[in-house]
Order: sequence, then C-alpha cells, then structure tokens
Amino acid sequence: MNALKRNNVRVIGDGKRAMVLAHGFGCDQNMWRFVAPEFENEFQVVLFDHVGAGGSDLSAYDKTKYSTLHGYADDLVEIGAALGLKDAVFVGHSVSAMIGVLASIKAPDLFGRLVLVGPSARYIDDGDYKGGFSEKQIAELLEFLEDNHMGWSAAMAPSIMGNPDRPELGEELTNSFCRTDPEIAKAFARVTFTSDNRSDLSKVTVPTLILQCSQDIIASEEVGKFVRDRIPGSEIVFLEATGHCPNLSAPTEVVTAIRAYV
Amino acid sequence: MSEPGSDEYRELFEHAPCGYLTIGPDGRITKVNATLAKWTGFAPDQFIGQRLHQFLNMAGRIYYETHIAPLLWMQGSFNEFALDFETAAGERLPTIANAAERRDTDGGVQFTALVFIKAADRRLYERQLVDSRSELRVSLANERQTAELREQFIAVLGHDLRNPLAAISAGARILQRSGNLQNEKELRVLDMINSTVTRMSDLIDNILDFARGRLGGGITLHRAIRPLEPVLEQVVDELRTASPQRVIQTRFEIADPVNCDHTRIGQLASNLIGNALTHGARDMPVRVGAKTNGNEFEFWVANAGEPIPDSAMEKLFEPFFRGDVRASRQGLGLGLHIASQIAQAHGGRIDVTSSPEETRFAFSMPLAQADERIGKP
Amino acid sequence: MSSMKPVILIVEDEFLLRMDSVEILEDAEFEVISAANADEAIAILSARSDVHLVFTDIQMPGSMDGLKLASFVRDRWPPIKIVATSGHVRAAAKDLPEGSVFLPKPYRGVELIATLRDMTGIA
Repeated sequence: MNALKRNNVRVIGDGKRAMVLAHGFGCDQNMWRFVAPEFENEFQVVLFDHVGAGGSDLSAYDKTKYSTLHGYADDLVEIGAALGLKDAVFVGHSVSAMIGVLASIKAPDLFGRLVLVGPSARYIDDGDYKGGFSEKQIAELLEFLEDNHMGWSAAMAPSIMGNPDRPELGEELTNSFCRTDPEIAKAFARVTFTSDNRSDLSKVTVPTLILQCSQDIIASEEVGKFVRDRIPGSEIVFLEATGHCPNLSAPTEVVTAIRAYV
Repeated sequence: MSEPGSDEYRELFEHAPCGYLTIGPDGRITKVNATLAKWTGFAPDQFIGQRLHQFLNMAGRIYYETHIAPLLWMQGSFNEFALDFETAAGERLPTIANAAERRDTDGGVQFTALVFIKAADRRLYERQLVDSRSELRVSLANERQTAELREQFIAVLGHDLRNPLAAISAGARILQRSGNLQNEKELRVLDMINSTVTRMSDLIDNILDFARGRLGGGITLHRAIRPLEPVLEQVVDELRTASPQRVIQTRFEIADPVNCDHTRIGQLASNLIGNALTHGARDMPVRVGAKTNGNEFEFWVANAGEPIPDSAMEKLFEPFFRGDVRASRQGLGLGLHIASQIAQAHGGRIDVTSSPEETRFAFSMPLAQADERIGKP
Repeated sequence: MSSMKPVILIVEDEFLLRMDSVEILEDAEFEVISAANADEAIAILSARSDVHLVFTDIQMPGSMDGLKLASFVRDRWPPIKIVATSGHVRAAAKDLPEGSVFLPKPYRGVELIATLRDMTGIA
C-alpha cells in the first residue's frame, strides 16, 4: 500500500527543507489551512491525513495496528521514507505531537526539529500527575462521540475520496474536515486519550519547541511544562491564544513562533 | 400587520422555543436567552463573560475544542451536532445544536451564534438505533459462522449416512447378479432390501435438502448436458421393483439436450412418481412422460383415482403436507415440497391438474439456462 | 494395446461398493482390477503396464486420498485416464489432472459405464 496515497499526502511549496504538518485528533490536514501557505516559499510543506481521517484510505485502517500511537508513528516514518525526507521540521498538533516524538525516536534522522503544539504525554490523571481528565470522563467522551456521527454515511465515503462518479458533491463537503467513520473516530479517541508516552520523552534527541496555549482544557500549561521538563534541551513558548487549536484561532501567532525557531 | 418593534423581537429572542447564545470573538459569551437559562438552571448573568465549555460536561468540552471550534473556524458553521449541558443541579441536558459565525467584511469573526434544541428523546432514539445496529452486526457475524458450521455438518452427515446405504445396495445387487439365489423368496427379499434402501435414501435426501433450504442454503445445482433418459429409466425401474404389483407406463421422447442437474431431476421424478403411486388408484397404471419441444423440457406424471380435494390443492407443495395418507405409507410429506424447490432452482415450475378422470403433475423448465446457484426465495 | 477390452483399475475403500463396481463394469465388457486404497493401486500400476483408466474414490484412508493419487498417476503414467468420484467433496476441474472427469455420487451404473466408454474411446 502506497503510503502517499494511503495518507492523502500533499506537498506544496518548493523550499529546500521539508516541513511536515501533522493534524491532531478531531480533524484533518485542513486545519493547517491558515498556517501552511505561510511557509510555502521557504519550505516544502508536507500535509497528510492520519489513517481514518480526512481523505486517507479508510480501507487501510487496521484495528490492531492503530490500537497504539506506534501504528500512526510507523505511518509517519513511512511517509518520510517515501518522500526521502531527512532533517525535516516536524510540526505536530495535539496527539500528533506524541506521534511525532515516537516517529523521531524510531527514525532519528527523519526530523531535525520538532515543534509540538498543545502536546500532552498523558491525558488521564495518574497520582501526582495531572493529565486533566479522569477515566470516567474519557469513557463519557467515547460514548458521546457515538452521538455525533455528523451525518457520516458509508454511502458518501467514496465521494470524500474524490469519486469521479459523483461530481455534484463538489470538493468540500460540509463537515468533511472533521467527519469520519464513527467507529474509527471512537477508536482514535480511545487511543489518544488513553495514551501514555511520559517515558518516551527523554529519548528524544532532536531540538524541540513546545507551543502552549492558555486556557487549553485539553492540554493544560502544567501538562505542557511537563513535556518541556522531560525532553532534553527543549523550549516552551506560551501563546496568548486560548483554546486547543491555535493553528486555526491564532495562526499568525503560531506562524511567528515556528518561524523564530526554525 | 405592522412591523414588529424591537420589544417584540426581544420577546421572540428571549422566549424562543430553543436556547440561543452568542459568543464574541474572544470566545466569551455575550448573549443568552431566557429559554436556555431556564433549561440549565443558571441565571443569564451567570453566562455572560464566561466560556461556553464551562457549561458543558467534560465530553462536550473536549468535543467542542476538537471538533466544533475547528469546524467553525474552517467552515463558518456546523449543524446538527449533539452537545450535553451540565445543569446547575448537576444533571445532563442533551441537546442538538447549530452554530454559525458572523464575519465582518475583512473576515474577522464578529460573533458566533448557537441554537440549542432539547433532544433527550431524539438522542435516546438515535442511541438505541446505533446500539441495535451494533448488536445486529455481531449477530450477523455469529450467524454466518454458525451457518458455515451447519453446512459442513449437513454435508458430512449426508455423506456418512449415504455411504453405508450405497454399500448395502451394492451388496444386494451383487447377490442378485450372482445367479446363485434361485429361490423366489430370497430374490424377493433382495428386491425389498433394494427398495427399502431407496426409500431410506430418498428420505435422507429430502431431510437434508429441507434442512439446507430452511437454514438458508437453497438448492445447489450442478448442471451438465448428459443423457437424461437413462436417469429417468433407472428411477422408474427402482420404483417398479419396490412396487411390483403396480404398472408404470413410460414414454420418453427427449430430442434435445437438457442442461440440468441430473441427480436433482431424478429426485424430482422419483418424488412425483412416488406420490402418484401413493395416492393414485392401485389398479390403474401410473403414466410417466418426458419430452422436449424446442424451448422447454417437460416431464409429467399422471395417475387415476380420487381427485385432489380443493382444500389440499393450495397446500400441496408445502413442507410436511401429507394429505390423506394411508397409515402404511410413511413419508414426511417433503417429497412435493422438494420437487417444487428443484423445479424453481431450474427456473421451471410444476403445474397440477386433478379431476375424477386424471391427476397430473407436470414439470416444465426452459432449455436455455446459464449455470447458476439459485437460493430459496 | 495388449488387450481387446479396456483395462480399468477401480480404487475404492468400501468393500461392497468396490465389488459391485467391478461386476457392473465387467458386465459392460471392461477388464477390471481393483484396489482398496492408493498404496495398493500404485503397487498394481507399477506391476503392469496395460491399465487404461483409473476410477478412484476421493475419500480414502491411507497415505493418499483420491486427488493426490490422481496427480501421482498423471505424473508417473501420463497416458492413463482418470475418473474421480465422491459423495462428499465436489472436485473442480482445477483439482484434477487435465482431461480427467469428476462423477459425483450417487451415480447410476449406466452413467458410470457411459462415462468410461466415452473416455476409453468405445462408442
């Protein structure tokens, strides 16, 4: 299975160095739409969808493989290999921050710099560690996701992948950026929110920047600082942007912060 | 009617049959209507200046940050999503919501408007649908697995039951052939062994076919073009042997090749002739004919005797229907049912006519057919 | 050809069925030898060279079933024709050597005779 096709990889711009933008839980590569164009001139910007999101090949979804973040990290390494990437910049949002960390540990030459936007090494509280959520709350989330199928229907799926037989559906379907197979969405949520990568942080060998939002209920400041403390030589920048998706709510601030680091 | 004044609009807003809330560009609530305040048990001024996620349960908060907010930024609106409030009393208020952004001329967000409809029943209904669909999927997977096992079991059972029977038949044939047995009685015994084996074999065939059909398998056909007359002749011979005092007259004129499953057609013939022997007048011949006429293959069996009562005509081909049967003649009442299934599988039919002069079962099937597996309708 | 009658080797493990088939085919002017399993069949085929056709059941005890025997026979003695039968398994064309015939059980004696006459070239 061709990794570029499987993950709906798009490359824009023609800089010498590559910058890989990885979307987080909930949506797809479209969430970089305000950030990606800003780097087109200096970088080869690589956008992709995790398997199960956006325009990725849903038939490649394998329950076992994607039951841990390592499955997603393997895909990322494959994409890097397919494009011949070396020493690239990685910008990972939300759960993709940890996916990028894992990929970097697996393939140390792949990325030269890591930028982690709203990262969290573990979401569920554990003793003194305050991830921000209880197990019960995560269970409620998984239940709740089932109530939000967002009009997903298997019949429409091919059109999201660009089925030439149904041109009337147009290119951008309503909700398509965040809509996917509810089964897969639920599984991805489970993998994300039950993940624990605290022990992986110290193995990172690449310069890392953490972008931390204020009042982010998904990845609090405390959680961001924890990541900074454990990744050797990493830095943290506190954004004024609030909420969990600064790449959408405050793209300029994000672009500035990234540019300053790379 | 005059234009509504701002007071009327205000009334419409405050007491709309839905909850209404607006959020400013900084993410803080700027307006809330009385309906939503009442539903949630918070005073309106408890909303103003706060963030929406403070009124949602945790799942809702996560969903808001990961799906709703991004979609609003990317798409400007989001409709028909579910959201749960946490009321002042700590209870869950399920709603369905629409959200839309209002932007100014250079694209900046002026405010976001959200509308909420109470949806406890609808959400519950949807949830039940989703749950039962999951259950069905699991059931289906189990069913399929069980069906496979059943198929295998039927196949093995059939084979294991038929093999020893075939051996018994073979043994009887050997003895008959040997010529050592001159004694009338002994020869008669061998005849009876054969006919009993035939009866048992038909019974097994019928039971297994029935089981397979009922269990969803349908009758599988293996079509070929081979001479059909020998098959029919042998069926008649077996039945003559089993009922030596009965007369079976045959007239076979099969001019064209018939693409059919010979074993099954033999089974159909056996069932129809057997039926005629059971129910027809014992002192009159049973007449059997077969012919092709260009488009069709026809096979018919006719007997004299009491006509089939009207009440029975409708149920003839139903499983286990035995009509008025003399106690000595056993049978499960499956023969005609199976025959009709075989007819259908070949794309054909069985027609019945019955009068005091004659009762006739006529099977006809088209000659032109592709090889296919036809399941039970 | 050393014999006027075609020589048929029947391979069938069920005693009565084997005996019955031998008699049916002898009555139909074939010369018939029989074996109860694949090993016996191979011993017979190794000892004489005039067998025209092997008629074998598929389900048999022993080292080889009918399908494996068929393939062995085709491999070692390519001119020998093969007819296979079974009440349980339905063999497809690809399971048997090229040019072989599968006769499903139950078959009528006349069908067997017709098939064998067909394959050994007797009208």
